[in-house]
Amino acid sequence: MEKKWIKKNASLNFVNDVGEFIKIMKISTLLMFLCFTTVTAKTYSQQKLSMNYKNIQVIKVLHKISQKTDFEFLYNDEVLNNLKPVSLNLKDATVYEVLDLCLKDQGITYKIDNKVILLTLSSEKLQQEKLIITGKVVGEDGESLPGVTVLIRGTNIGVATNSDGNYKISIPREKDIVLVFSFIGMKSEEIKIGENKIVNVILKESIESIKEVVITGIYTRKKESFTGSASTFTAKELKSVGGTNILQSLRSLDPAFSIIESNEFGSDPNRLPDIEIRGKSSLLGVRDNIASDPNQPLFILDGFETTLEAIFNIDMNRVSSITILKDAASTAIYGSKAANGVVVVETIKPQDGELRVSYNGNLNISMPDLSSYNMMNAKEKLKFEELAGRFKGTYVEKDIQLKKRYNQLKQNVDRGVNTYWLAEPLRIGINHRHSIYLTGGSKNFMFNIGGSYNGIAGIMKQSKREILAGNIDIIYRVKKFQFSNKFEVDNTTSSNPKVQFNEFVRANPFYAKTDEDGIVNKWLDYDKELSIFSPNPLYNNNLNSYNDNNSTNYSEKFVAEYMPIPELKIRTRLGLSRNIKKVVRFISPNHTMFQEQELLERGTYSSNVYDKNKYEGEFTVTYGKNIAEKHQLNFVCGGNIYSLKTIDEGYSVKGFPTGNFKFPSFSKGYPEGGVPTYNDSKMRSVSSFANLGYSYKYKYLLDLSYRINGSSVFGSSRRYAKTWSIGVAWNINNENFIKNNTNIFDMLKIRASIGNPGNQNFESYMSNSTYKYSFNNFNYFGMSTVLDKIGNPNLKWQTTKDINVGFDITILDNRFTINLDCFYKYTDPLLISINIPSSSGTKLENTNMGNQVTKGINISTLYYIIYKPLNRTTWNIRANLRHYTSKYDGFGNKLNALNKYGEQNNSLSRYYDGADPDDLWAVRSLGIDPASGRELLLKKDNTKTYDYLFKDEVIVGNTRPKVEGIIGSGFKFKGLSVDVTLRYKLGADIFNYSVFNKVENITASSYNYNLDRRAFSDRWKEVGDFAKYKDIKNATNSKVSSRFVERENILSIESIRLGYEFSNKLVSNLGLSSVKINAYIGEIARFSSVKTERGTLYPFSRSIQFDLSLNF
Amino acid sequence: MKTNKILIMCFIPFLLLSACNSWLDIKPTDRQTESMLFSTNEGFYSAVNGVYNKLGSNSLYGENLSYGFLEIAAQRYNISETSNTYYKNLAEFAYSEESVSEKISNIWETAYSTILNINKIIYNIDKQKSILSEKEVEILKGEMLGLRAFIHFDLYRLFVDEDYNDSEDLTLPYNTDYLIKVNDKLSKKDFVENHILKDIIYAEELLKNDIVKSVGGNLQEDDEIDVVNIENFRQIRFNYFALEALKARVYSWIGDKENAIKTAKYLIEEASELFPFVDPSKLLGNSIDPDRIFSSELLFGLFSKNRSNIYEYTFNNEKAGNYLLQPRKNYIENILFNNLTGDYRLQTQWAKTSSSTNQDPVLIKYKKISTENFCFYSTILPLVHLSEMYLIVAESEPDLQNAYNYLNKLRKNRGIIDLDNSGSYDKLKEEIINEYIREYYGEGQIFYIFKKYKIRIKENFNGNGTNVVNFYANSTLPIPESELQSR
Repeated sequence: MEKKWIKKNASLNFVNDVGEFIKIMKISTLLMFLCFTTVTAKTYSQQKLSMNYKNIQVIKVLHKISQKTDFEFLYNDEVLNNLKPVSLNLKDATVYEVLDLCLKDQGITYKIDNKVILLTLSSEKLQQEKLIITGKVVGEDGESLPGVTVLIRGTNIGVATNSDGNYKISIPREKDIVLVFSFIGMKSEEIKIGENKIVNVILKESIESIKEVVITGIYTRKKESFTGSASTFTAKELKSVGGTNILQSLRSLDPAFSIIESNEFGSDPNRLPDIEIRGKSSLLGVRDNIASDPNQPLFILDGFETTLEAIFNIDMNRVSSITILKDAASTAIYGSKAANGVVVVETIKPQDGELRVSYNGNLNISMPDLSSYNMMNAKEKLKFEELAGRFKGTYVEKDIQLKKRYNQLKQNVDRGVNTYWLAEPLRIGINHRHSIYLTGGSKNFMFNIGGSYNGIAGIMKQSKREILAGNIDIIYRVKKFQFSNKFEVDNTTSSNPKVQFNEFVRANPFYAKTDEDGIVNKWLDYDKELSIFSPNPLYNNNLNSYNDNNSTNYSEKFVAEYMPIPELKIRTRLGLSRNIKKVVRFISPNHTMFQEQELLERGTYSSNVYDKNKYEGEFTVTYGKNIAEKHQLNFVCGGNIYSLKTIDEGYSVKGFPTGNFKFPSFSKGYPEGGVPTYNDSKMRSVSSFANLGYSYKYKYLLDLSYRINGSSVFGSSRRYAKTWSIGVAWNINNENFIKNNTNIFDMLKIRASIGNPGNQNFESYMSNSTYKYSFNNFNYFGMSTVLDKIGNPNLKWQTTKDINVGFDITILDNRFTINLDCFYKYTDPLLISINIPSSSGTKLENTNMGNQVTKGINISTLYYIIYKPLNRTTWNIRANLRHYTSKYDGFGNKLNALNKYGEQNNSLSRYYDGADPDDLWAVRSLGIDPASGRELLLKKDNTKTYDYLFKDEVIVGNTRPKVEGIIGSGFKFKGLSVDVTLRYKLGADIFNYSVFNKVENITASSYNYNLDRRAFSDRWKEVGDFAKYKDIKNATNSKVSSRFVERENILSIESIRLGYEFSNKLVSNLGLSSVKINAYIGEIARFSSVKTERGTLYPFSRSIQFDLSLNF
Repeated sequence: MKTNKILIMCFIPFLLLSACNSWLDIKPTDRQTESMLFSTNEGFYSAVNGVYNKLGSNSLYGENLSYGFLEIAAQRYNISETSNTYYKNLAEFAYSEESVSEKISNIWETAYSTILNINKIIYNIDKQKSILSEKEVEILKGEMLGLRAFIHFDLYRLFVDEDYNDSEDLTLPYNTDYLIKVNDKLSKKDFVENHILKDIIYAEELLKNDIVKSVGGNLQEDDEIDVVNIENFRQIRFNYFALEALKARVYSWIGDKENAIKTAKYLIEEASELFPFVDPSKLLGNSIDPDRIFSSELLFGLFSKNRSNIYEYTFNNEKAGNYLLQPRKNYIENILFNNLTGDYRLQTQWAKTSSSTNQDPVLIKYKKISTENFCFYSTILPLVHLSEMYLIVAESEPDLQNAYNYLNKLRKNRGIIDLDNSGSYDKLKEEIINEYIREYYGEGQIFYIFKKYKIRIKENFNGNGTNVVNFYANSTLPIPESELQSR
């Protein structure tokens, strides 16, 4: 819609601002009533004009008038297009006379409103041939929309829909009449009127338009003209697949985004997940306490770098959209931090209008999932120990002792002792979350205030995580400036269990929890002579030990924008944040671990305080112009400074009296030689960047990015790194040969990009050599210092050459979408810690060496089987898939020490050139020889042997699934909606450690623990047994072999959601504007081809969750 | 106008970038970086001091390369059934056993890491000459270069066979880099002549004004700590005479007799007055502060604050348990010092303890000196004595008469009778070895002497047992895994 003004200075102004638009709408509504009445021109001004022209364009006359008088004109192109040139010869005429003459027989009338002259098609012309159009406007969810403006494009003529969303408009019967439907908060829709007299329209929420732009955090670009690989998700989408946290939801939505499931920490609410986008780019990271996981993506929250923890904690209801930037074309603007991908989170911006209040409440019930455990009961365990010869002594005295012990245990079992220890530390976790947000304001001043509480109890009795958060957002607009400010504060308190789950798992079932008097004893069994020490996990669990964290974050973000002309935007951003985290751990002196220590040395307390201060500043200039409707040009350039300072201080003390004395002041003192720790690390970087996007008729697209980054992390000789990317794309759907032949394509885009984003998630002082004082050696010459860490000033940034090719296809009226990306990431050199000959003065060196290639493919599809938004009925299915391979090279034998380490520690990871980092290496097994009960192995030359030699190791599997992804479906009918997400994971090989440790590799010491049932049932007992596991009497150490490598195929129901949105009538009777409830079920079922224990230190959980959201 | 302004604004960040180099150059405050340390005079001293302290650590001369590892391997002590596994394995040259290989790696790694510390100091002395005075530059750099040669030489003597020849076989790397760098292995000739001797000659030049030449060891009479004084305690720093002694050792090792004699004689001439033989009247019968290490002759030693612990934990047969190091029964008195009861060394360095079950003498060289007064030699581990020069001359001198003369000069100052100077060359060699053993028990040198003479340890040299031990075949230590696996 284009309205034009002729102002007094006679320059042409585009009116494309929403605010201006409303003004015009008001005028047009006014016009609706006036244009059929007589024009009563008020003699506002009696200025006289003289004019003498021949065949002059009317527009020029209008210009003259506005130059010479106070009048301004408002008209549209269509009006002018109809004007014929006129000839004038007037002296001292009034404006009316001029206008009358100019517009005579032109089919145009005018109306003067104050100093504004409105030019419109005259009513006669409109009434020439009228056509009545009726219809209904609804939202995407099928709710009727009242108050929608319906305008004839190019005019001010229009109506609004009534309370049922119906409208009626009369339009001239002309070719190419287009109706424009617009509504605040919705995306405008333009409909071409043909012969249909009934035109029903579905308006999409304007938040949906987020789907059509790519927000990189530095600039925003139309998706249509963007060449990179990026996916954007709205708050609605995130909520449709899960209600816990946004990371879980992203995992279900984008195949490139993966959470590395921790088999140890299960559903521990205090455990931050490891995140990867498109696999690893770093093989071996060198981490200190401030650097994050070297494979972790960069997180950007409202334009500023943030931490995984902040993203993990953020209230889902505050999020407006999340964009995942994957390839070089989209991430290179972040330079040396971008090699692992970028996750850009935008929170909801304040909106003007009346004060709106929204409340979200959430109740989550989590239940432990112990289905993967298969522990022996009391009877079985006793029998097993008996069979294993645990009660036979080599000499008489010992034999008697052991027999005595057997009889005691037998008595226990006979009187029915069969403790299910696993259930002891667990509970049904009740978690709840509440958030409330207020937003409102005028056009020039808007605010958003919110607060939330999230209390997660977890399924282990002593675990807890509570997050309290608040935020105040303000936007202030004045003339060409906009200032916005976001202030956030949050506090997280968390507690961890005192005794880890595995200690309960290993407790023998033939011991009772308490003695006859119901007292929880310290030891289940304590026999020095037989060296049996079985602590009672319940006893330790009941002590006053604690393991608590508290973290407070403050963050302040200020943005000032200046738009001198619509094409140009100058922006300055300033961010400050502070995080203070305290980690305190106290272990009671009564803990069984102190049994052998002197009374005064028992009990420990340690405290660590981390204080992070960060500031970041950015300056950008954005320029966007559309030249002659053909060339779209976008240019961004700017600079950024970043500084992070972390201080961590800590100390520990020991020796506590028993009783409730759990604070450091009660301690005896510091441990011998113990000193407080103090680390102060600073990281600074500066950068300058530019991005150019160009498209020709939205057909051929080009993106260029360049960033130069300097960081204190890297050596003084290589302080700066340059990052570049080139992206190209072709929107085939905009080509005439497609347009003219078919209209099935809504989008058909082929993209390709190349670039070299870097990775700087590394220890901060790797380039400096540091010295330490040696206090122990003091001589006549005083202090002495020796080298502590030996830095490498020649360290280079780790950069990844990232090539991406992909396509996006949307067909059948947006009903079917498919996105495909193939990528190739080549990191060379890697930054790793390698072993070097010790004659160099050190054994380990941080250096640049080796390379890694990751190749992969991601596919996402979405298909609407039913798409009837008018009936409020839709049904879609979606599926995605990812497949990666990875390989490294160029190390030679520099990583042999790691291989040695692996051999010694029963690890299957090896580092050889040309291999996949996720390969499993072991000697091949032929199984257990039925004749001897020993394992028969296959040597490298395929001959058989009983002897395990590491040189016979080969690749026996790979832990990465061949394919992984989700299949989901969403169904909506009226207010009801259902979403189901299934995850599949096929073709991974895993080493079954729980079978290895609890069935096969049972050495003398592990008999003291409870074991897997299969240790009893599946082991070789006598000659001729075809058993899976070795001789039950064999208590020697087993080595890892291919026998324990199993192919893992998993299908799990990741989430099910059931939602209902109450109808408007019902809701408005309650004085609300909307009410939604959702129920989620998480991880309800999981089918795996491998039976292995999951969640060894903290079990996994299944959850049901209820969500209520109210808008006032 | 507007466009210009915008253009300028666009380039501000780029301009800022160039000013940012210093902003990015962060000096950590929680630890001391190389550049911070070497920005002050004190920093240099403390780094140099760090090197001396590292040398005195157990991995090097604090144990392994003095009374411990090397002496056990050289069969100096009786390793019995009750000794710990490490002793037993080592005495049998089971170098691949973990208890022994661990020690070997320790020696290797600590030695090379000390060398890296030295290289950093040398690099920084060269880089920031202005912080130190010219004299300081000479002394500190000279000491460091000398020590670098000293350590490398001992590594060479340990890890390379004694046969010095022209072969192109590669031996060890000689590290002169201040950055972590994998250095090439060098041939024997290259290692010794182009590296060890080169460093020595450079150091000689720098240390030519060493005060040790005019005032000697210059040990202070009190333990006042004087941080910046490099003119005190020359004996426990790698001084000019220590450097010359090292040079004589190197020539002697590679069989360059002429130069060995020349250097040793020069040193005897230059240093005899300043480093006189021990005064028997002060030494013998002194129960208050006996100078058991003969400190007046000591050219170089290391400070060891808790030296008396060495005695208590390893030589005292009442306390040491399975860590006891004591020569076999009857060896010391009846074999090593046979008929030489007047030998000052037997009288002052060996003694019987009050143990009723073990009546054999133990080494009391490192025993606590029970005086309340400050006694500098109570905290010194001896490494280089002037007496060694007499032995070097004796073994290199082509003229037998002359050789005997030098040997007898030493014997005389040890309170034992002259040898008949008409003995055969083999007889002389035997006596020289015996003298080495008597002179340097518990100091690590005997290992090298046995190696140099390619001997099988006969009964009269064997402090462990009575059988002949094929020492020579085991006298070259295996290069540790930490060096080999990533080469």
